[in-house]
Amino acid sequence: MEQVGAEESAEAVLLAMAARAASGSIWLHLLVADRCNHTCLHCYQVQGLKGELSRAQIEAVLREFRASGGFVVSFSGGEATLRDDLIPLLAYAHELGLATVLYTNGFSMTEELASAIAACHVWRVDVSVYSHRPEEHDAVTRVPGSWAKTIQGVRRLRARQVNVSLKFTPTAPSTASAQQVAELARELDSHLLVGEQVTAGEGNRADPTKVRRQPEHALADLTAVGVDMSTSLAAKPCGAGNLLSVRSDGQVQPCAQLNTPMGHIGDDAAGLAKAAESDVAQFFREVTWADFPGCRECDLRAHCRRCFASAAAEVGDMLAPYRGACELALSRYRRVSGKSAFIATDASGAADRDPLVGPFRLDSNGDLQVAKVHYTAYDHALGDRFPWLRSPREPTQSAASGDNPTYREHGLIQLGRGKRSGFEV
Amino acid sequence: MPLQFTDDTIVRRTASALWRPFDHETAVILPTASAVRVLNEVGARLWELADGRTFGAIIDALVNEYDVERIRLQLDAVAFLSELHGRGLLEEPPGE
Repeated sequence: MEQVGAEESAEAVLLAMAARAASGSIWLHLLVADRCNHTCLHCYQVQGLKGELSRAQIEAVLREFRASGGFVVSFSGGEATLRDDLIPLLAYAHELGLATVLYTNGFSMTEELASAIAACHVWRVDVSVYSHRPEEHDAVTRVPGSWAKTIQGVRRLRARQVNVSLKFTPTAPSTASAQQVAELARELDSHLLVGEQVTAGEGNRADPTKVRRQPEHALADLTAVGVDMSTSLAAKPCGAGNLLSVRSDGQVQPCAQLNTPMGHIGDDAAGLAKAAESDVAQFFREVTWADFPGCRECDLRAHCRRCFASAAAEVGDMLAPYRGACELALSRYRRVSGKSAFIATDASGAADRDPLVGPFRLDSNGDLQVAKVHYTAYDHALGDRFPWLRSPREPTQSAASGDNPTYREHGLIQLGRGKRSGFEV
Repeated sequence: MPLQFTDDTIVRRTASALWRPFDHETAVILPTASAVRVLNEVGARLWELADGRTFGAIIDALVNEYDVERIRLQLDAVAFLSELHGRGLLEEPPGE
């Protein structure tokens, strides 16, 4: 039972099928809890401020999603297991014919909860693990003893034959490589999923990316880095458009990290249908690599895992090249090609640019040259049509993470299961 | 090793399996397995027909829909169903 690779596999297979068939959204990511029992350094969320949908509202969303052709629903938070009604919700989704995935830190995985998860046929449980070393994992979660409880949770799930994937996002101060966490996964009879980069946070917060590790360090020893060398301009850069996310307060958005509103779930049972008619939904259904100035000319496109949310946070433009993605693409190219890929700036126009931001052109030696970004009339028209693509950066302070001392002091949201209100700080 | 199928063998997909068609292919998820199984057009059609009808009825239906010799189709179907069975995707193992 082994699967080592980038953050792809089942999700990537399904989203690629949906994209080929123009099937619309087949994967729903439900953020059901606006609270967490960890305070991870790289967390993209702002917690404790948004509120949560009721069980009846979530059940209505699940019915609507299933009726519209939905196939998979993932439950996340914050920490989804902090909701008292998580198990009835998982069971209801399964009864509707949806495959269910649970994203959790495993910290609250009691024997009782593990049995209940197994009983409602959850397809997969993805458990966040940041290192094979307890002290490094605990340093990321900022909860002493969390590694031990998380690993115990994994063992409890596996004892009941629940599919478990350790989800490893390389995050400083952890020094673990993907291969080292893969060995832990093997020991736990689990899979490994690697999230290759820390993404930006809600509200255009760039502070989670401060704990992003250099890709060449984070991915060292990873034996199978998935690279789609056939990435064409007609392909989509990520799953947005074929997945849909509903935030804990009911805001419908293209993915969990990207807070561009498409609609809102309230008492109106047709919230998803209305969201699908929004201009945001239309853009994400249709966007391809050809819509990205610079990236569409980049020779490293096949190695790129760019993220709309990170681009918005880092450079204020969802379609522009940004350093986080370019560094990762460079690292992946160097690993795959075995070349050192020396970077030279283009004397004809890109010399004043950050040499680690593309587009890059490959020469016959496998070295790279930074090229100019060419904007067309189409690009300007696209920006005029969808002005939210280029938004000013207005970071939202996070109560749960970040490095602002004021927020850090008051930001440790520690909740036990069943405590629906009243944060214990 | 391929399983034995007669025209009277009941073929039924696993009740807990979840699937969704996408144009010319179908994704199948079994809650007890982490992988997604992708069936091509003919495989997806056979999967759709594996609702408790007999192997013979399934072959009859497919022969009418595809331009293929019956014997060739039977051989391919046995191999395919054996693979589904091996992956836990058939509810009721075909009888000997």
